[in-house]
Amino acid sequence: MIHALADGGEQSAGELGARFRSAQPTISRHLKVLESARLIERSVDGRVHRFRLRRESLEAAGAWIRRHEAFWTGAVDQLEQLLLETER
Amino acid sequence: MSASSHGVEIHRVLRASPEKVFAAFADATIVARWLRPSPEVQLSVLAFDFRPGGGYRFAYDVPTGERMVVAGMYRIIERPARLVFSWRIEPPDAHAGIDSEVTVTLVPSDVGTELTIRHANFGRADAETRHDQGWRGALDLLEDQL
Repeated sequence: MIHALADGGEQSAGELGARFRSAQPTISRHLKVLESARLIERSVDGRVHRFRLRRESLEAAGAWIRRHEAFWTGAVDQLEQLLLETER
Repeated sequence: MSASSHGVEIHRVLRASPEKVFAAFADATIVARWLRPSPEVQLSVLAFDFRPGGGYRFAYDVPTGERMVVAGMYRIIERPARLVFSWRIEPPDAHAGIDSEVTVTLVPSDVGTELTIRHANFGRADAETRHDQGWRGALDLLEDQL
């Protein structure tokens, strides 16, 4: 779903449903979860609901993960080194 | 998408006993020698009270002059198998105020210890973003989608 919206454009619930060949209630539920997670934004035009990716949310979550992954990988490298040194 | 599927997970097999690996988390002078992202980063242990409910506070000084301060509380200590502590970066920092929890698991293996570090992100607790219940879900989804 996020990939489908990744070009930055808006897509309607119907367009997204057609793309995933899923039942509309499933699509609606998934969109609701993404919306409550503030990963996507909804705009309503009459009966048509359109969705857009909130790129800033995605980047903030990804940055935390990348930073902490780098932190712990580096820390465990040093722990491994320290254990080898104290072995001798 | 379980509640534990978001965040970071690191695995490593270490050539040392679980007791020895655990001791590296439990002693401030040992912690200061390794619990940092790289050897260039200086770790100063500002507080260290290694008991359930006890707190810690680490300052990280980067060669460029920036400082990151992390604080938390030891929640579970099961020597030498498991350690759980909270982790929160203090302001000013792009990730300040995000509540997270680190779970360290040590399993004996033929060569020594299988170490697993899980770092789960629980999102921001500050009033400014309290309405943003999305962090947890956002991270779940991110891992599913990327």
